[in-house]
Amino acid sequence: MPFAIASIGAQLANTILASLRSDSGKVKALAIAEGESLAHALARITGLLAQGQIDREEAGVLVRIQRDASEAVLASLAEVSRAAAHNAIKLGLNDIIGRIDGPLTGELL
Amino acid sequence: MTWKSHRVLTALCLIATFSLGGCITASPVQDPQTAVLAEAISSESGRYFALLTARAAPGCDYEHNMNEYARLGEISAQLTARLADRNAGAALMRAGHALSRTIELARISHQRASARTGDTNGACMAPGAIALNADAVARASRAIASTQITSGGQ
Repeated sequence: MPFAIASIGAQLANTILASLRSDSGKVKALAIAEGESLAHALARITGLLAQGQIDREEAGVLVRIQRDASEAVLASLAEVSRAAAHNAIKLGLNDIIGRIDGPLTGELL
Repeated sequence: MTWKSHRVLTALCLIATFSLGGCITASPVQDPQTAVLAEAISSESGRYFALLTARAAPGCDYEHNMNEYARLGEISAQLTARLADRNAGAALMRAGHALSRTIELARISHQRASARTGDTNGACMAPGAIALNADAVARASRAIASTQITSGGQ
């Protein structure tokens, strides 16, 4: 065998995982921040209701607004995650293509 | 790219089609117009809600501000139409629709607050409620705009 198959697979996996780890960390941080924003907003709505600044009907609408805003944020994060997966695979592919077009071809032929 | 790498790429592309829902060679394409529309909602809503907080009756009531919600709703409709035209993924479409609902509900909340005049705020919205709505629209619109910067959209 002119080249190590296992090392190529491991390199591909490392390239992909390094990219995914970087992006997933950002997505996780944003998801946590959104959860905290929602929690704070719900607490403030409860406070406004308790103070008589809004009635129950208005409180219900304000809760739905916060729920939909969080849905928009989390759905956007899902889009970022999807693109991150695409980018990670692309990086891995570029790495493999570079090897096939370069050193590996030299070893084989 | 040599014929060897092309063959490997084709095989991996087929795998990706099944595992990721699309060929990975179709790289995400940035759409500046989507980002512009989402950022327009963020900036215009920010300006509007800031002014609304400072307004006294009758300038603060719903009737005097309904055009602002119509304008935000119009941009939001342009945004979702743009996403649909560009065949955006299900997640991004969902985000666009959720933003549209956020804006529409903000309008409804103002309408209801103005209709309830027996409270200390009269026809005006409670400042705390305005701040909450401003934050909600800003969060949702900025998140969509950021997908065009972070991931390049689709």
